[in-house]
Amino acid sequence: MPANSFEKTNMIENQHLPALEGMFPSWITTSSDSGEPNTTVISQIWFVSATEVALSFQFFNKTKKNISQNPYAFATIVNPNSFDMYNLELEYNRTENEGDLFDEMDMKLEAIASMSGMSGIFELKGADIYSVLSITKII
Amino acid sequence: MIPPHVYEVITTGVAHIGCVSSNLKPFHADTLGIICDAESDEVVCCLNKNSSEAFLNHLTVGSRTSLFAAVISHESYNLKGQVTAIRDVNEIEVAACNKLSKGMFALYSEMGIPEELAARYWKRIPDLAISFLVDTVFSQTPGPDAGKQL
Amino acid sequence: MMNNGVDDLQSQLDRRNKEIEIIEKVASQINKNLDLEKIATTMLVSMDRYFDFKHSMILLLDQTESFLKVIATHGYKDEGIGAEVEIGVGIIGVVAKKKKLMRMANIGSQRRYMQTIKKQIELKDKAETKKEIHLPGLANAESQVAIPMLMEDELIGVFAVESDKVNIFDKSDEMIIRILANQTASALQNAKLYKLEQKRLEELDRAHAELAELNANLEQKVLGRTQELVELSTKLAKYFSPQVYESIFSGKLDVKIQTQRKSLTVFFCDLQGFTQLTERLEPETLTELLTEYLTEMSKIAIKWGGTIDKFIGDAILVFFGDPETKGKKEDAVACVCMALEMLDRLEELREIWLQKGFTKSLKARMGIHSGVCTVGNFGSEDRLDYTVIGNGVNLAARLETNAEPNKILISEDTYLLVKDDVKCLKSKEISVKGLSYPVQSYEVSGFSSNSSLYSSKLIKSIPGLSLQFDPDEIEDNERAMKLISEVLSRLV
Repeated sequence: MPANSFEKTNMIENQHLPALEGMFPSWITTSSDSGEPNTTVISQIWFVSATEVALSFQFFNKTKKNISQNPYAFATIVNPNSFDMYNLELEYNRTENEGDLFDEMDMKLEAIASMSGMSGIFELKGADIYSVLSITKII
Repeated sequence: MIPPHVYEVITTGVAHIGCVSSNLKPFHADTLGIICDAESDEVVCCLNKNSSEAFLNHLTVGSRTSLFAAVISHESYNLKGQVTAIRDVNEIEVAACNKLSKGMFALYSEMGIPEELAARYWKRIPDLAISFLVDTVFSQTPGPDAGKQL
Repeated sequence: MMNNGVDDLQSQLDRRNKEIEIIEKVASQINKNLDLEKIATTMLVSMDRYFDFKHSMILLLDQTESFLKVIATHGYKDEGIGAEVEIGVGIIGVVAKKKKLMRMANIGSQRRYMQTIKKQIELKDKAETKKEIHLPGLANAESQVAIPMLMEDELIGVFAVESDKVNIFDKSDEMIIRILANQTASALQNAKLYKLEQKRLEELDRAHAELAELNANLEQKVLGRTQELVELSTKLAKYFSPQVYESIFSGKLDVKIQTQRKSLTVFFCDLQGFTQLTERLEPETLTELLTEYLTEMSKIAIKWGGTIDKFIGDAILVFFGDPETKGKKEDAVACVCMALEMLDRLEELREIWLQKGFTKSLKARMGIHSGVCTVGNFGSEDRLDYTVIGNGVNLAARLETNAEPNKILISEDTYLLVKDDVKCLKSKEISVKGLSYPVQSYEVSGFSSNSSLYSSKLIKSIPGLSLQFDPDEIEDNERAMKLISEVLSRLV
């Protein structure tokens, strides 16, 4: 599939990867079980595999609360090199508290926090893994 | 009444608007400019139809909506409310969008982001207006007070 | 379309090949070296030369394992060698802690985000949060790759490359850095081990030298100590009779309360008129006199093998038969010989003292008895006295009191032992407390002429008259007798 196709796909490919490195923020919308939307911005959506992405779970916020009621999420990622933008339809799958991904998230968090003298203030509670239902290029 | 500092952020920052479909699936789109009535709690968001398809497919008048806006200092707010109208943009609204995009170009240039990249986002044409009535405002600035209702 | 794809792949392949070539070159350069700093510097310079990594550094884990130290840098104005990074702090610190590679592409924006939160916390709590940590490297670093250098899963250090450009390192860079970092790790480890080896050898040499010196010092110390002990024991010896001293030091006599009953010959002696003298003389003069007397008497006692028990003022107690004995008879005879020689010497001393102006003539009284007495260490746990007690001792003392001035009074028991060698006159009977019957005493008059002790020689001198008489040497008896007559006639 050529990179600049606007068709819907469901596998993460090479062209998507630069958008999953936290170089540019992503935005995500979730819904409560009563249909109340919540739109917010997050610093990074992490690449897990061709069919999965992850969000870092640090505190119990509205997004996390919604997901516990309604597993669906809608996210937009931006490729910082080209400003190609993609919408992702996601479905929450599981939370990991250990492993390579968790370590990677944790290390990044700790590195930056410690540089600012904020060690110990943040705690990575888990890596929330989502299945990628679809990817659509919008720009 | 939308507090002035919130007004400042939503009219000069980057914003995204979200909704939920009838089968409880969430969607969102980017706003290219926002107009606010100083007295009333009505907010008008301008969108580019083409790149907002998924969102627009599931939006109706009466839909619940969530608007997130942030400026470069990370000061951000979340406004929740009910959609009152979905219509064409007017001149004032387009002017507001132009003003915003100009500001954004300047900001991106400062940050070292090449103009052609900035253009991909900010040169989109605003051709639709969504207005909604705000019932709650939350602070979203990262920190201990994030999520606090104003 | 197709061509683009092929060209793409081709250039990727070319790049990959080039990279492998360079990696090999750099690796071989490093491995030739055993010098820690050289290895590190070579690596960093090569990384710039071949891969355009303009700013890089190598840190090694400190021995304490709580922080890393910068050992080599490249591309920084301030070299920063020796700067420290705490484990767990910053990108390098976290990489060291988790022993995993980390690549950051937009450090600046992330820090700014963190700053926002920090400010919010400070505003809310009105509290000061911890200060920003100052870390070595670019102040405005945006991209960084930090990789742990591991040897068999043990952390030896961290390798870090950074840039002030955002998102400058890609997966390919990551791989190159990973390979070269591993090479550096093993080379550094070798160099470190080599250095440790050298250090260990040096330390071993030093330890040897110290040991040798210690040994020499020890010998000196032992000599010194031995010397001290000898001096001390010599001083102590003066407080013991030589035989007792000998017995103690040879180990034959144990220093504890221990006595035995033995056949001994006990000798008592004192000076008549001494007490009056003590009132009349100056203390110094008295001391001088007493010392001279006791010294002379002691010499004679030792000569004849007697154990000097004690001096009580001018009185002397000596016994024979312990710690060593020559036999009951021999001991008794030796005692009498000693007594006779003491009398002779006292006579000489009297002359000397007269010369010095002591007009009072000091006469000795002596008593000797042979019998079973209890001898050994008496006293308390802390203070021992090697002495003799018993009825025999009392008898010897009574004999002494009853002796005529300058005479030796012996008991019958002693007489029976010495009668073959010593001429005696029967004297009075003496009653002693503790004995139901009185004791017959005998006065010693001299040696029997058939005794081996009998000496026909006579050597005497008084002011104005010196006499040396040895009958064995006289060839002309007539002449000798004539000489004596002449002297006698002049005297009368």
